[in-house]
Amino acid sequence: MAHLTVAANEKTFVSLFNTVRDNFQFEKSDSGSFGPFTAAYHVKLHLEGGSVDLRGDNTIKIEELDIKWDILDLTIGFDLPEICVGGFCIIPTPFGCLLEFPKWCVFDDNPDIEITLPLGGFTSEITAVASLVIKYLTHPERLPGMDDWDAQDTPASPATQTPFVKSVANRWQVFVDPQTLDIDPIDIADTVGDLLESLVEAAIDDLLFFLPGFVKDIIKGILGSIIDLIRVILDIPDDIQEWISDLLNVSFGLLDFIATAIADFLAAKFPIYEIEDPFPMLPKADNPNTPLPELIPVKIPIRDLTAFNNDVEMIIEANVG
Amino acid sequence: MQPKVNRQLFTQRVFDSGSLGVLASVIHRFEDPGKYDLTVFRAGAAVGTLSFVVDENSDARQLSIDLAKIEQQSKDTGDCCGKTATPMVVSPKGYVVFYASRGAGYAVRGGRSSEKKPAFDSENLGKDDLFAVSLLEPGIYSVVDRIGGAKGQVNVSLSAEEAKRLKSLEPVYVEAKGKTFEPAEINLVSTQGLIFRIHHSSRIVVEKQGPLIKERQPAFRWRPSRTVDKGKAG
Repeated sequence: MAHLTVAANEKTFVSLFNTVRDNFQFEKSDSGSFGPFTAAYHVKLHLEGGSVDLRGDNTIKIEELDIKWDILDLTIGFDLPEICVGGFCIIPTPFGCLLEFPKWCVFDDNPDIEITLPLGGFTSEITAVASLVIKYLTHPERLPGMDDWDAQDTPASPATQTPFVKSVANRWQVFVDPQTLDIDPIDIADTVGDLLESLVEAAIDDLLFFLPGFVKDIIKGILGSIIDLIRVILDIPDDIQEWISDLLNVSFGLLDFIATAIADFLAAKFPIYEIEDPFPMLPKADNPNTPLPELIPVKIPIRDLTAFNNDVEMIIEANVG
Repeated sequence: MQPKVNRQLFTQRVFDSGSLGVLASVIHRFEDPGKYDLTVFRAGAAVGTLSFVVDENSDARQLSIDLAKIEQQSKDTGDCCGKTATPMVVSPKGYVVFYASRGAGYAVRGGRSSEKKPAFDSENLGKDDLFAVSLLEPGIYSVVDRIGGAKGQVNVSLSAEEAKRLKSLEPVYVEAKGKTFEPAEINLVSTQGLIFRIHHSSRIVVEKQGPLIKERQPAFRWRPSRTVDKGKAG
């Protein structure tokens, strides 16, 4: 029988989990070249909501955990095609053009266009099945040779502090380790095609702003329909919304990054509970036999720690000594 | 850094078959086989030479020669009037297109190496030659044959609807018959090709005169009428 047992009912467990959830933040940028165009994204998100259910089979079901996409900016860069005048047929024949007028191009090199689509502001959902896992941490900021009392009295840096043990003391950690984790695909609004078109049009207008009106009209006439131009340059087969979704989900593997980041955070970065080792049974105290030095804290080693749950509570058991 | 715009395309106002700039070309068919040596002039001064061969065995139906490039090559080699790069080849059934990718004032003249009389002089086009232009800026252009005396007019427009059709425009042909152009007045959409078929000795000059009539601002405007309340006036 264990020397030490700590139990947290489901309500308390949910409260502990919410603390873990609220400490998760993800921010990432990446870019790549995809032949005729380049793309880059910047994403920032956090977690909200969700229901947590302790199950009788020693697992934890997490449902409807919201990913709030605070920022999802997709930047696409490409070259406009050659914009040239001339090139018409002077002598046509039934077999093709016999004689062509030369071409003169408006730009000495194809201009770059770069547009950023602000896609954020939507919500995805996560569903996961997890189990409790135990790890032992020797704090990385604990100096070699530092004893347990000095470690207890040395605060950890703010970036490494947890709600439970704020010093650099060693500790047992209990994590929620996802066994399965499903995320909804990134939901791109169906108006993204219109947005893309208007941004490209605005970018072209910016490029040409200094030119006389008739020149801009000629160039736009040569370029033709903006949406057709985009489809040709970016090689979009059909649905722009689906193309962007594939670019993010598949080409960039963004969802995989996020799923891995969430799983890693839950399973190894932010514990749902910690127990300091050795555990401080009694704090330091004034020595009643003055002028002798104050009494140091009484600490007891914790070993063989295990954690499990049933359908009503999380239970942590350990031996001491 | 954004690429440079070729502004000359949009500021060219005069298109002269005897003084070529951008958006204009003269076309000649050299029907007699042999080696041809031509001199390139700009503003009357020789700036380079070129050679090509008319070969009966060649399938080449078009030989395009950039006169500005010839001048540049000549400068690069330091030889203003010497021979240039490898001779080009064209079929006697083909056409040589002379044009300038940049700059203005280019002319070309010359013939077969064995003959003194020039086979071609761009300042004096002959029968079956072609002069092709592409006018970009909307407006009214005069057309004059400085040798034959013919006069005409070209009206170039660019409405929103017309801008959508730019890629599908077919060129318009004018017969240059020395004393007359047929037709004498041509309506074009911006960038549409205009091709003069030369029947007599000609030097065609197309020059922008001004905006289209409908683009001109009225000299005066009628103010909306007002009703004066005589009871309150004065």
